[in-house]
Formats: sequence, C-alpha cells, structure tokens
Amino acid sequence: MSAPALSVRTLTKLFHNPAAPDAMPVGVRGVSFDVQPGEVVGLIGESGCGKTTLGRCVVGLQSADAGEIIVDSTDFSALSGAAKRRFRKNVQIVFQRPETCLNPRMTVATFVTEALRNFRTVAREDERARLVELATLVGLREETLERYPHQLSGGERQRVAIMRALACEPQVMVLDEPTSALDVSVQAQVLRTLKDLQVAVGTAMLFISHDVAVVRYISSRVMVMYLGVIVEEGPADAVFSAPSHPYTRALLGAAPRLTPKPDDGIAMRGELVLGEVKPGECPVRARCPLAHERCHTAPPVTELGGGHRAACWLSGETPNQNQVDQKAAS
Amino acid sequence: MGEKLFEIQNLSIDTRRGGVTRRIVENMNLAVERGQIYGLVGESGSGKSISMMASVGLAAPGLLVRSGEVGFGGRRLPASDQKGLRGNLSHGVSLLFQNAKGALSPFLTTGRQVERVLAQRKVPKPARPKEITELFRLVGLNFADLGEKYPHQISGGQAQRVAMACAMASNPALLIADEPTTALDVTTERELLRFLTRICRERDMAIVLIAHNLSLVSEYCSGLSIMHAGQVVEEGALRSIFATPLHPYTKGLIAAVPDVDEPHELVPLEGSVWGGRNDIVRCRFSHRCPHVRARCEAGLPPAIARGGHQVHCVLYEGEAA
Amino acid sequence: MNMQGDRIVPLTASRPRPSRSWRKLYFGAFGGDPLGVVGVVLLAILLLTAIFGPFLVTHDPILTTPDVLLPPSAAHWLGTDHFGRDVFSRTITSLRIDFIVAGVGVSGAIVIGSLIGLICGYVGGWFDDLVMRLVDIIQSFPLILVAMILVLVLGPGVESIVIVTVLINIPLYARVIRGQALSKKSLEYIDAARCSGASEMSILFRHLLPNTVNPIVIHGSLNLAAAVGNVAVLSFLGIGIRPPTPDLGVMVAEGTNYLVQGAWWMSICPGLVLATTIFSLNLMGDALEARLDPRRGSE
Ligand SMILES: Nc1ncnc2c1ncn2[C@@H]1O[C@H](COP(=O)(O)OP(=O)(O)O)[C@@H](O)[C@H]1O
Ligand SMILES: Nc1ncnc2c1ncn2[C@@H]1O[C@H](COP(=O)(O)OP(=O)(O)O)[C@@H](O)[C@H]1O
Ligand code: SF4
Ligand code: SF4
Ligand SMILES: [Mg+2]
Ligand SMILES: [Mg+2]
Repeated sequence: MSAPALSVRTLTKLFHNPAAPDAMPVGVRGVSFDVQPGEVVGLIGESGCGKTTLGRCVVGLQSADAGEIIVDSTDFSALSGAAKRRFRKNVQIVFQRPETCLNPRMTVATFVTEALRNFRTVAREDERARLVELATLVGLREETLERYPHQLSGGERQRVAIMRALACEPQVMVLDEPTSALDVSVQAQVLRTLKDLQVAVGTAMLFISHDVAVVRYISSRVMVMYLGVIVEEGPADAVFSAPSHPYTRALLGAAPRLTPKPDDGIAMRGELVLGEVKPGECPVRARCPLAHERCHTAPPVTELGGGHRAACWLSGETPNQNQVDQKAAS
Repeated sequence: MGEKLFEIQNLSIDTRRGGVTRRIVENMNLAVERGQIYGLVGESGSGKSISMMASVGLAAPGLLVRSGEVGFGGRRLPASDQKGLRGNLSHGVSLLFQNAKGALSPFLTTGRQVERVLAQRKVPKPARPKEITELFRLVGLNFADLGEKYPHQISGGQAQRVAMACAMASNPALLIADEPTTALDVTTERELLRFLTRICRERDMAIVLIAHNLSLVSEYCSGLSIMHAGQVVEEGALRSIFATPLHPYTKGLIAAVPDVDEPHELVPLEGSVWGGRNDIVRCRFSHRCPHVRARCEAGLPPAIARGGHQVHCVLYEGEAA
Repeated sequence: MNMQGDRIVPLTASRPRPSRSWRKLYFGAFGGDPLGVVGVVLLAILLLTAIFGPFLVTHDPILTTPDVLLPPSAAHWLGTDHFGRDVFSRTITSLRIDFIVAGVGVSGAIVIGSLIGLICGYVGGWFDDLVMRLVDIIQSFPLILVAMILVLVLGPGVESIVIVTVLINIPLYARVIRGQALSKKSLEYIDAARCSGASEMSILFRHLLPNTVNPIVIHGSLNLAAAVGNVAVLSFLGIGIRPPTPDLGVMVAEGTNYLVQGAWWMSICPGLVLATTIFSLNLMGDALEARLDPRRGSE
C-alpha cells in the first residue's frame, strides 16, 4: 500500500469547562486514523461529539494538545510560522455554514485567486484560465466568478468554498458538514459534484456529517465518533450492513428513511450528559441499552476483519449475545 | 374515513414588495382527520410555515390573505378573518416550533412554563401540580429532575419536550409542529417523534407535521401534502404517494434523498423553488420540470385523483384514473 | 452541555426580516424616515455652503472697516460686528473652518482608532488588555481638561484643536472596531483565508478590516456633529480657534458681549447656523442608525 495521504496519530484536543472543572472535558481524545490517497473517509457522530474539533485540528486551524498529523511524511502539527503557512496548501477545509464561509467583501474570483497566488499553483497569466477550469469542475458558471457572496445561493456558496479548497491542490480535504445547511435538492447537487470531483481530481477527503445517509453515499470507509473517541470504523459496506457497536446501531436505526425499517430495539437512552460519564469506563455506558458489568472498564478495540473494528465488549462475541432482550431488564 | 377535524380550502396568500405582488401560497387545500398525523413537506421557502400560520390566524403582518376558508371544530371561517380564526382555534390548537429554547421564557423554570399554560386554561391551583407532573411524564420527562430548572440548564431535546408539555397543557385536538426536530440529533429526533405518535394515540390528537425532508414523515404520517413554491403538488394517503409517486417534484425529491440502507446515485433537482416566471398563473414547478409543456404555463394544473391520492399535473390529464 | 452546535439553518435566498416593514426597505436609505431626509437636506445645504464658501462671501471676513455694528442691510445682509466685519461672510467662513477642523479631527480619530481596535481585537490577550486600558484612560479625561492641557503644551490654534478632536475620539472607534473584529475574526471566511495561505497582515487588512468598518458610517456622522459642536464650544471658551480666525463659537462669544447694546445679529446668526449643523447631523445619524440596525445584519 502506498503512503497514506493523511495519517493522524493519537490526536488529542480537550476543552475543559471552567464552570465545572470536575466534569468530563469535551473534544477529541487520542484519535488515530489514516486516509489513503483518493479515498473518502466519512466521520459520523452527533453534534458536540468533536467532529469539527478534529477537522480543525487536522487542517491546523486549532492546535492539538498532543498527537501527530502526518501529511507527505511531515508532521503538520509540529510546524509553525512560514513553514506552516506554506504547508497549509496540502490540507484544506470546507465549512458548514454557507452564510459565513465566504468573505462578503470579495468577489468569488478575488477570494479564490488568493489561494492560487499564495501557493503559486499557477503562473499569473494563467490564473484566469485556472479559475474558469475550477469553476467548471465544481459546477459553477463563469459569470459567478464576478459575483459577491450575497448574490449567490447557499448551494453556490458551498461550491465556491469547495472551489477555493481545490484551488490549493491539496493532498487531503476536510469537508465539515458541507451540505447540512442545504435543502435536499441542493444537497444532492453538491454531493454529486463532490463525487464527480473524486473521480476527476482524486483528492483524499475526510467527510464529516451527522447524516448517516449522506456519509453512506459519499464514503468508502467510515468512522463513528462518540464523545471524542472513535467507537467503530471500517469499510462503509461492513459498518452499515453489519454495525457492531451499539451506538452505531442506534445511530443507523434512528436515521430517517423513505421506507421505514423494523426496529432492532437498540436505541440510546436520552441525551449525552457529561456528568454521567465517568473516566475509565465505556463512554457510552450511561446511555447504552446493552451496558453490563464489564462496561465499567473501557472496552478494548476488537478487530472484526477487513479493517472493521469496534470498541465494545460485545463486539466479536456471538451475535445472539448481542440481543437487547438479554439485557432488557437493566 | 375518519371525521374531518381541520380543513383548509382555497387558501391564497400574497406579499407585496417594492410594488410587486408575489403569490406565496396559491389555492391550497388540506384536510386532517381527528387523530391523524399529517405531513406537510417541501423545500425551505415553499410556504409551509406561512400557510399553516395563516390558517390558524397568525399570518405575519404584511401578508395579504386573498382567499380561503378554514374549518375547525364544526365552524368555518374565511381565512381573511385572522382575528376570528385566532378566536376559534385558540382553544384546540397548539403550536410547536423548531427553536424550543427560543420559545420558552428564559426567566421561568420549566415547571412554571407549563403551569402558566394551565393557568390560562383556568385549571384551579391545587390541581396543577398533579397535572404538571402528568404532562412531564407524557413527554418523557421527570418533573422531579427538570421541573425546577431554567431553559438554559437543559439540553435542546429536553427543551423541545418542555415545549411539547406546554403545547399539551391546553389539551389540544390539533398540534401544528413546524420542523420540531430540525435542530436535534437523529437519536433524539426519533425519540421525540415516537413520543408525539404515542401522545396522538393516547389523546386522540391530530398533528400537522411540517418537515423539509420526505424521509422524516414516512414513518409517522398517514396523510401527506407535498408543497412547492406555494402550491400543493401532490396530496393524499402517504402510502399511496410513496408507492406510486406521480408528480415530477415528488419523484425528484425521492431521487434526491440519499438512502442509508441501499445507496443509490442521487438525481438532483435542478433550479430553485422560486425561480421562473411570476407574472403568469402556471404550474410553479414548470421552470424545473423535465416534462414541461405549453399547457403547464397556461393556468393552474388540474387536480387528478389517482389511487389513494391526488396529483396536480397536466401529465395525468385524460388518463383513466 | 450544548448539543445544538450543528443546528440546521435552512437557507432561503430572500429570507425576509420580520421586524422590518417592506415599505421601509423599499424607500431605501431615508425615504421611510422623513426626519432623516430633513437631516440630509439640511446637512447638504450646510456642507455645500461650507465647500463653496469662498464664492459666496460678499466681503473679506477678517477685514476690519469703520462701519462697526451696522444692523442687517442690503450691503451687509447680516450686519457687521464691532470691528466692522461682515457677519454673513464671517459666518460662512466659520462654518467652513469648523467643518474642516472637525472633519480632519474625526478622520484622524477614525484612522488611528480603527487601527488600534482592529489590532487589539485580532491579537487579543495581554496586548489587548493593555492598550484598551490606555484607551479607557484617555476616555476618562473630560474634554475640557484634555483641551486645556494640549493648548498649554502646543499653544492655542487650529492644530491643537484638531489634535484634541483626534485624541478624544480615538476611544470610540477603537472600541467599536475592536468589537467588530472580535466577532468577525472567528468566522469561517477568516479561517478560509488562513487556509489559502494568507499572511497575518493580509488577514488583518484584506479580510478583517473591510468587514468591520460598517458601523463607522453611523458613528462617524454622529461624531462629526459632536465634533463641530466641541470645536465651537472650545473656541467659545477661548481655548480653541483664536480670533481673528473666524469660528462659530468665537463669533457667538464675541456677539454676546454686544447683545446688551442691541446688536443681536452678531451672535444669533452664527448661533443658529451652529445649532442647525448639530441638529441636522443628529437627525441623519439617527436615521442611519435605524437603517444599519445590527439586527438586519451588517452586510
Ligand atoms: N473553542 C472552544 N472552546 C470551548 N469548547 C469548545 C470549543 N470548540 C468546541 N468546543 C466544545 O467541544 C465540543 C465538540 O465540539 P465540535 O467539535 O464542534 O463538535 P461537532 O462538530 O461534532 O458538533 C462541543 O461540546 C463544544 O461545545
Ligand atoms: N412575513 C413575510 N412577508 C413576506 N414574505 C414572506 C414572509 N415570511 C415568509 N415569506 C416568504 O414566503 C415564502 C414561504 O416561506 P415559509 O412559509 O417560511 O417557507 P417554509 O416554511 O416552507 O420554509 C418564502 O419565499 C419567504 O421568503
Ligand atoms: S462496552 Fe458496554 S456500554 Fe460500551 S457500548 Fe459496549 S455494551 Fe455498551
Ligand atoms: S404541470 Fe407541467 S410543469 Fe408542472 S409538473 Fe406537470 S408536467 Fe411538469
Ligand atoms: Mg460541527
Ligand atoms: Mg418553515
């Protein structure tokens, strides 16, 4: 296998709540994963679980407490100053909110040209041609280049944001909920564009979303995050068709569907309450319908084959042990 | 077929902006039976909120209600009589919105919020604590845990439940829930909608569930209207619509939704809701429709009954029903 | 904990702001606000008068003549003062000078104050604390005291009054722009610029600054009104512009000495012009403030 486009090693970034110093800090705790060149890795999880924090750390907008972010055999997180600025070319991000992702005082062309110029990806005289090429790539018409953000629709703004990231010709792109604020029809347009880009450009992507259906559509591999840790990961087909971790199963079970699916009885109880989570135990325990004695100790990661792993005591045990009725009394 | 509880007929609403009049709801019909959960779906800006607000007498100032009648509880009133509608519907209809934290008063404990509604209903003081506890239980909350907390101390899902308890406190026959779960996580969303469904059954309450996503309504609703640019394009029994979607917009919406279980290629709908001409009476989908023909822009599309539902599209004209 | 981070905000291209009436939007800047229009018209007249002052004056404003204390007549429209100078010509020239002094002062304050605010808001930390504390100190001095100290140091004259105007207005702009910079610096487009390889300078001046300057329009016009008033007041008190340079405050001050002799025209006319200036600028400022209401978004 060739070198990964992005290697994240035990990345940690925690936010302590000054009002409740004893409560569990939130953020990202010791996350490791690789993204291969040309691969789209999906990151799913409920809001507040640390997806954005992870994404921002990966692109160097937030400094991690610990861990390595290796791109092109360089530890990005160890760089600073001008070296860091130059290195930003390799890791790009697209944000969630179309309202604020573009500078309201700049035309699309000015905004994107900045990236071309700072990283000298093309000669000055070729800039215009490159802009037009990029616009076509993300499905924007040429006249859009002269527009200001307020003249664009939400979908168009997200395309411009993608265009800016592409302009840097990055090794890896982080897409932080790029379609969450869009209507289904516009979301479909943008997702299609991203998939086409994947074929045309082949940039590796880390696609963050709370919508499992969207992640299923776009990614070849997925990671499921809960309270800053990855509780399950693996090839999309394996994770979606045979989810192992109770949280993944709850998340998949709760996803709205056009054709409702029979309930498998695994549903998380209530909402995440930080005060209920004790250090050293399985973070899901307080809400897990299958929680039992062993869960007071954090479960090990179980290999389920083919790169599919889950962090639950029940993973890999015989399936019928995994049924809810066995624990229904709890 | 059950008894009609709430009915909107021929509702039309205009706005005027810069001397230009725009019709934002056109000739809308909707009928909800007692105890039914009815879905109203369309992309944002389609006029879902506007039409429902106008039909309960809460049209925003500046909106011009041009025509229409609203029937509720055996009385019919013209929609232009907003004050009359408010009077007729205030007992019997409750509202639930997306932003529950915004809807709750930040200065009152959750228990007091519910009590306030009970007081409006003239429930005697001694009877209130029991009823509040009961309402909390109904929406899946524990009064002992949450009754003394202020809205900022609880989570979004809990706030939405408190808002639900407030809505239930007036014991309504109809709840209008305007994207109540859009701000919530899927697991919370599902729990909340489950509770709503259960309450419906327990109390024989009907719900109009407004959503921008077809997959949300599929599990909970029995009736459905699909709205696009102020026009209802397809309406009727949900199962029938899902089994044989007819209108190009409905088909487009379905093809645009990614599926969790069997991923399929997405076929995006092109264009935006309010594009196209505003100066003629037309099928408001004509600027996005792959099957558009001259007839589509020569008046409102006809309503054609097919199976368990109705479609508003010229494609089905003249075909045997 | 806050579980609403990922709240979905459906985006409608023309989402209406419910708090605004359509009519107001339609009539644009001041159409819906008659007082604002009055303010703009008055100010336009005064500004034009100040700009074209040299062509309007009928006499040399500082030339003393023997025709002292003449009441208004065809030759001297607003009469003459105790040195036989034409009050009309002096009023117009004063207006021009006061506007220039206030305008230069406020512009200086805008440039320096904005720069301070921008850097403090962006950098944050101890630097921000320190500089803003200094700004607080400047602001806590009363105007007259600052003026007197400066006049003592620099000597009276137009330059001192310009510097006073700059100094006392810096805190306003520093604070306004700092607030804007604080709220905008964490927006995604700033992060996007950083990812595009923009230098700190470029982020500060190309991305942040242009998005923070909007409120200056409001504050600038209100502030100009106050500044014209202050220039006149300081001159009236004798610590600003000194005679014979014409100034509205100086003229009112001189005129009051002759009121008892019945020479009302010497102080009433410049006084009225001064009042109109301040009044019109205030009307306009209020209208702008309503129009650029932060609830409408600053974009
Ligand atoms: N700069 C910050 N300071 C303090 N807490 C933060 C900060 N950024 C994020 N958080 C907290 O960290 C948690 C994870 O946030 P985030 O990464 O945005 O989650 P997600 O993107 O999965 O919704 C949240 O609870 C959030 O409140
Ligand atoms: N108070 C108002 N005045 C004028 N137009 C409005 C008003 N409120 C909403 N609209 C317009 O009416 C249309 C429908 O809005 P709305 O009912 O909120 O859509 P939905 O709830 O389907 O997302 C939108 O195009 C919106 O711009
Ligand atoms: S380890 Fe225990 S608590 Fe954690 S997910 Fe598995 S069963 Fe649930
Ligand atoms: S009426 Fe015409 S434009 Fe409208 S959906 Fe049918 S075919 Fe398309
Ligand atoms: Mg996020
Ligand atoms: Mg709505």
